[in-house]
Amino acid sequence: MNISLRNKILRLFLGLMILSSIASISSVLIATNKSVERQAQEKLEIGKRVFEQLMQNRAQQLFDSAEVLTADFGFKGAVAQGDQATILSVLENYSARIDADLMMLASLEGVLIARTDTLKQTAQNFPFIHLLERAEAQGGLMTVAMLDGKAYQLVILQVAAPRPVAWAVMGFLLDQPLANQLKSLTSLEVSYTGIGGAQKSFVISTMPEESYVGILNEKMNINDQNSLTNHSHLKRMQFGEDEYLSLYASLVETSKYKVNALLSTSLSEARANFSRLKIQILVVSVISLIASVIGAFFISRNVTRPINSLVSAAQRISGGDYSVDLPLSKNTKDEISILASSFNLMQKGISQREAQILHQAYHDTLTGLPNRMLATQEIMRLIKACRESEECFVLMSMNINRFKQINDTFGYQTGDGLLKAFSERLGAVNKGQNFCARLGADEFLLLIKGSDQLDFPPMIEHSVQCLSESYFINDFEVTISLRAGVAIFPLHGDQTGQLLRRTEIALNDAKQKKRDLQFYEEGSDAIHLNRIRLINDLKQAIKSNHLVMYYQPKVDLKVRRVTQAEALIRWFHKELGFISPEEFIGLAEQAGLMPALTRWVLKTVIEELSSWLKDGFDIVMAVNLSAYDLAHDDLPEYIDGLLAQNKVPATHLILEVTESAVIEEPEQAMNVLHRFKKSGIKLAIDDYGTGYSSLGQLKSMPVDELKIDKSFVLKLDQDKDDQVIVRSTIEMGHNIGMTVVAEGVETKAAWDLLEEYGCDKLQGYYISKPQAASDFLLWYSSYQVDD
Amino acid sequence: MNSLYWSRLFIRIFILLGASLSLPIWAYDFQVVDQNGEAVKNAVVSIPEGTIDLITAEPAVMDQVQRQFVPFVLAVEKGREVVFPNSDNIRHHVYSFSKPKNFQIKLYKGVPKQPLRFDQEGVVVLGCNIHDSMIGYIFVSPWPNFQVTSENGQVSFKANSKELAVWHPWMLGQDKPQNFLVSDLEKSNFKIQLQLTPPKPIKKLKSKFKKYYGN
Repeated sequence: MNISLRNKILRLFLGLMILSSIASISSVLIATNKSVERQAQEKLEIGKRVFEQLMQNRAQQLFDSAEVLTADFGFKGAVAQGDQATILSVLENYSARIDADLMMLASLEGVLIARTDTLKQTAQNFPFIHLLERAEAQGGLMTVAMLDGKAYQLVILQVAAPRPVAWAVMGFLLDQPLANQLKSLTSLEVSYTGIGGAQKSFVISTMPEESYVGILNEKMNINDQNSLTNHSHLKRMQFGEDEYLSLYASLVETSKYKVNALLSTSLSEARANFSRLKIQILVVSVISLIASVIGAFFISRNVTRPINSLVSAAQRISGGDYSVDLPLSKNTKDEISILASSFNLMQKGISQREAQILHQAYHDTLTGLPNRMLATQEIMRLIKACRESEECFVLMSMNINRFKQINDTFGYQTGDGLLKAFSERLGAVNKGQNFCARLGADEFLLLIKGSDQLDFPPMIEHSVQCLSESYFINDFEVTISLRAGVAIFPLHGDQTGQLLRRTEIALNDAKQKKRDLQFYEEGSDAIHLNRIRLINDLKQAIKSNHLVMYYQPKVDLKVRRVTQAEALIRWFHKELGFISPEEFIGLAEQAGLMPALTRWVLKTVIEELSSWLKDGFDIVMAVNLSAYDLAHDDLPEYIDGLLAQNKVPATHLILEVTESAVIEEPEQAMNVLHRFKKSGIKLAIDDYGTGYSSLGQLKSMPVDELKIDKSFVLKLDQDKDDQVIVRSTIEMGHNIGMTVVAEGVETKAAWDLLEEYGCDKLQGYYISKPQAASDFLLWYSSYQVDD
Repeated sequence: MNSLYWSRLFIRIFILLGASLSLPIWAYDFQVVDQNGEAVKNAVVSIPEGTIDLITAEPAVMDQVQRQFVPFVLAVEKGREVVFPNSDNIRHHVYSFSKPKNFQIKLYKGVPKQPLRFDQEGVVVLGCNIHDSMIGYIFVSPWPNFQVTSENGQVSFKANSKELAVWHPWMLGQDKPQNFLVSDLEKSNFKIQLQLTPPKPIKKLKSKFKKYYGN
């Protein structure tokens, strides 16, 4: 169950108030009930004392009278002499004097002598004979006794004349007037009950007769019958419709009869006095309950209102809105306001951190420039804006040339410093009006907006110029050169991705064409896409042997026959047909496919060579290696393994490398070449004359053969310069102990000239074009050098 | 030992004399005791025979000293006068409701002028109307020969009567002397045993006020 905080507070308050109301009401009720009982008890106690006093007074009166009577000389004389008439008259006289209800005279032996309350004077037993023994023992007796269904308060005294001669008895009736008198004094209900076997039982009470009907049947368990003070004598009784608290006293109890006194006060009546108080308390409780409900309502509202605002604030924050601060009460420092200010702090912190994260997501951490993601968004935005305003912008991708070398030379710190400085300058270019971004390690993007495309070239030029000026980083002067690819919206594209790609293509083109600045050229995109497709196809071709090796013979002029063949790779594309090795090897180099391609070539060629050698074709095979191949340390081991595996002697393999392949990483390349040499493999310099290698370098290389580039040979018979270069090169090669091979021999005249110059081996279409293995072998079997 | 010897000797003599004269004269010492064997004083022991001659003796004295009748028991012959002097410095009102002598001497001091003659045999109980505790007895004897026991309870008689009459105020029946056969007393070592009921000391009921409705 989902209960709101407010309801919870309301319920709690309400529950507590109801509980406390019940507690207070019930405690008041209990207290009043107790008070009623206590007051009743006190009333009974007081009444009891009055009752006792009254009874005592009567006893005293009786006693005094009896004493006077028994001391009366005349009475004594009459008793001593048995003067019946006198005795009776004296008794009556005294009886009248104190208004006694009973007077008797009995002999010491318990024979009735005289009696005032009845006319029967003789032949009667003395009714209190059972008391005489005690009276004699005590010298007299004061008691309560029952006679003929009535109870009397009695005094029994001896008549001495001077010796004891008789017992005188005087008594007061415990009657209704007495009870009434007691009631008027004590304001208690007073009852006397007498119960006797042979004697008639009786009840005298100040209560209405119908109320005390059952009183005789009440059990009265009284331990201390002489005292009313013990509270255990208290008993609740129902008289009529009222409840009473009663105090019992046993006045007398003998084997024959039992007389009790009963003082009662009405509890119902006493409670009635309190009922108004109860109603008042009830009313007060109800009012306070209602007040507390209203109070709880307001308190809960006061508590929950700020919480609700916190809740909505939290929901707003989770929705990403950090802009609205919670209102803070200025003076109060309660938990809610502390929470609210914490909320505000949290909101601020979250928005700051989010901004930071966002910044990091869209910015480069090193330079603080926007990254590619933000650049993309910006271009997207700009395209939209420019479409509406019919403006245009230029997108320029830039590379710092040889940044890796700068890093290596000056250290990473300086490299990073350069990037930062470059970024700052990039941002400041064109008065900071441009958008710029860092796309990669040393690749940056500059976006210049303008109204006319024709404005761009000078702006670009200016920018490049600015950026190319020297940087001073950590006391170093760093000079850089830039290479930039440019695409213009909407001239070169109107899509974000397209524009970005085209600047990259332009940049690539710049690299390939070794230019500083390259605008995107129409169609480059297609070429680019084609290259990507070809790279993919090449991968497949290597895997599935769609590549073929062709072989072109070399003729040894000394022995006048074919001794060598150069293995040349050919790719016949399913759709595009023949693709030149220059084209796809460049792709392979860019796509990092060279190691796999080289290995495939070597494996294929050496296996082919192995079969040739087996078949008796004594041919030395030349294979081309690229600069990438030379950068690999493990290639010598791989080739050694292949040779051993196919049982091909190392002397039957020539590896041809270009000058430029060695120049890129000379140390590494030389190391690899020496290892080949060690294995017994011959090495040749390919395309000699096109590179810039010095003779010194040439000399230091462990090379056996020099292949003159075909550009010098193709028109040898017509070009005098070529003849000079070729002849001197042949001489120079011979002088440093190399055999010299001429490529591109296509005519008889070239052949003759080369033979004249002393060239060792010839290769070219005049002899044979490159052929597949089977064609080559057929050709080889029938070929004869013309004389 | 000595007295016992003599007693036995006398007994033998009287037996011898009795056998010869039929009414032998005896002389014995008797002691009156109660049911517990304690000596009883104020007991009147009489020889219940003989007649009283003309009385010439002075009036007997029943004095009142310190709110007591002195003696407690006075024995007089029938017809003897008794005088009731008051030795206290307070007044007394001596009276008696007894049949042999119903009288009262109203409040007086000193010796009353006239002695009272007690000429009817019987027991006269004396009281004082002012002082309830004062009780005295006058035993008016029809016989001339009687004695009142002192502290030791002893009396001595020399007679030939077969019986002795003994009275004490605390005897049951009160007003009649009890007769004892001398021959029986001889057997019981001359001890005259009486059943006495001393009166209970008079209590004041006032102390019991608070217990007016007690059991």
